[in-house]
Amino acid sequence: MAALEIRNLSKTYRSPGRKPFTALRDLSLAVPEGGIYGFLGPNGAGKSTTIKILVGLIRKTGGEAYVLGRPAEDLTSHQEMGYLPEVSTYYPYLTCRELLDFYCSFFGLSRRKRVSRIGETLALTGLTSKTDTPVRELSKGMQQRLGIAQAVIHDPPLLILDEPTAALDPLIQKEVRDIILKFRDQGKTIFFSSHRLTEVEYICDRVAVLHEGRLLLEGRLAELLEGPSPDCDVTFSAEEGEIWDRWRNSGVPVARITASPQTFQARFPQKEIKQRVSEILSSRGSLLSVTPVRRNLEDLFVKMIAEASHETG
Amino acid sequence: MRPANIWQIGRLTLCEWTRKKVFYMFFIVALAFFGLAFTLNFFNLGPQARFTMDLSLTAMGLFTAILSLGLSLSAIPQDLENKTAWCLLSRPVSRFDYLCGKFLGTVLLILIILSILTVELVVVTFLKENRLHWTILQAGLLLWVESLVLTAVVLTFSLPFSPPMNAAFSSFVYAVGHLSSTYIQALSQESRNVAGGIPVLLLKLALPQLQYFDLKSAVVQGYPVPLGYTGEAVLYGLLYALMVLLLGELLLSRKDL
Repeated sequence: MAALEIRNLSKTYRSPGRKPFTALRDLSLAVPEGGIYGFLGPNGAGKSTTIKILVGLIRKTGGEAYVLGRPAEDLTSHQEMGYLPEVSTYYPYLTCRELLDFYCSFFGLSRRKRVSRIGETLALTGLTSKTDTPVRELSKGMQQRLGIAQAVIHDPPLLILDEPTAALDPLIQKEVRDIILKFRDQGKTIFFSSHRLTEVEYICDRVAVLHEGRLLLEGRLAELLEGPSPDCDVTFSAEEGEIWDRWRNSGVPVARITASPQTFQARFPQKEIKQRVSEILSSRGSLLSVTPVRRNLEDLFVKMIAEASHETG
Repeated sequence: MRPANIWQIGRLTLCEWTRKKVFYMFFIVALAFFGLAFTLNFFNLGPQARFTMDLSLTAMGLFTAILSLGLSLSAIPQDLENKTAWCLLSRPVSRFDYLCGKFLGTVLLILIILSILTVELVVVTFLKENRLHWTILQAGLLLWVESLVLTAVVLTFSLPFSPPMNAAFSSFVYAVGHLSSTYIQALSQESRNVAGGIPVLLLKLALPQLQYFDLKSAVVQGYPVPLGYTGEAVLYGLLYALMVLLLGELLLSRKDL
């Protein structure tokens, strides 16, 4: 059974006096149980709309969405899911313990079990020292950890995180990422949207790329990035004014390596490598290295979005 | 609908209100007003003691209406704007549970305040006249039932309307609600035929009959109020509030957050 299953999902926002806006068009997706699933796309791609349909905050206009085999609009499906919204605001006058107890109270847990879960969750998210601190006194990073804590307080097998590291400084991003990895190690399924491609590449097992409400790409990250890259980086040294000027003037992407004088790097398609290397050698330059460029998610993402934008005009 | 969910949300809402400083300021001003009314020698004479009750019950009625309006006006819009409702509604909590929870928290707070003010009025009139005015308790109870109706109306209006529009519409409902039975009676006399009677009946059902909850004259004049009347008014108020909350649920369930 898939943790999340979406079939031909569509959503059109209508408001009086405004043109209808279609945020999702026939989106189909299946998120397998276990592991981390990255949900990517530029702003306005429909990521948050999809997530809000899954957690029951907005109504779909067409298609079907299932959470752990149950329709997303069925409240019982919310029993086994934790959600961290893109913008997390919590009741500022409650302490961390009170807030978690409140959120935990909707799952039919006994008082003893609730107390134990609150302690475990605060420890897991590094908030034990803030147990009796009011939410309004927490820093932004602490509030984000609290956001994660409220999402996992009932120990759900599925976590849906909407941009969990957005607007956080690098240190806190890492802390949040480490918490997410801990949940993966516990066997939970994590579905999260993000703009941070390096982060997604670092922690996700599978990804889906969304653009203008349509699915562009979906699959295992390792498979999407495997295979030889069509490009190679060529590093060489040469006299100033020789090949350097010639290539620059003809629009070849060549850059000076500032740390080493008279050392340059250029990127070429593999089929041109032979010719370029002979150009370097014939200009009395020395070839230092030829390295195949490793495919990365950022290049893939930019390429896919550019192609899709070109197609839709 | 899960009563446990409604209770949890109601408890949180109550806690939210009681932790706001503005609430205490409001409460202290109301208590000070009462204290002032009872300490003035001007009110000590027999017929003027009735005036004291009249003034106090009028103040209680206005205080309750302002509290219902003031608390309910921002209860849901603030949650939606701050997005605090997002985490809550992603749990196994229905939108009706949420609406009823907000309603419960607000009317519980009004109940606490009204109970204090009512008991205070009973005690002070006892000290002045050396007899217990039980009708004051009935008047306090019906003021609270009126607040149920008003709170349900304001919470429901807060879903389609902005707070300023809601304040205007709800104040209008409050004012019309206090006049409606007189107005409808006059209309009924005008239209005696069946065709004319249906719109009057619909109007009667749609507008809250807030006059039912006003026992001020009876208390001041010292008339007894039959328990049957109080029971009927309580039942009417509960059913009306429920009907309005169901309408609110219909609006909230269609709302994209």
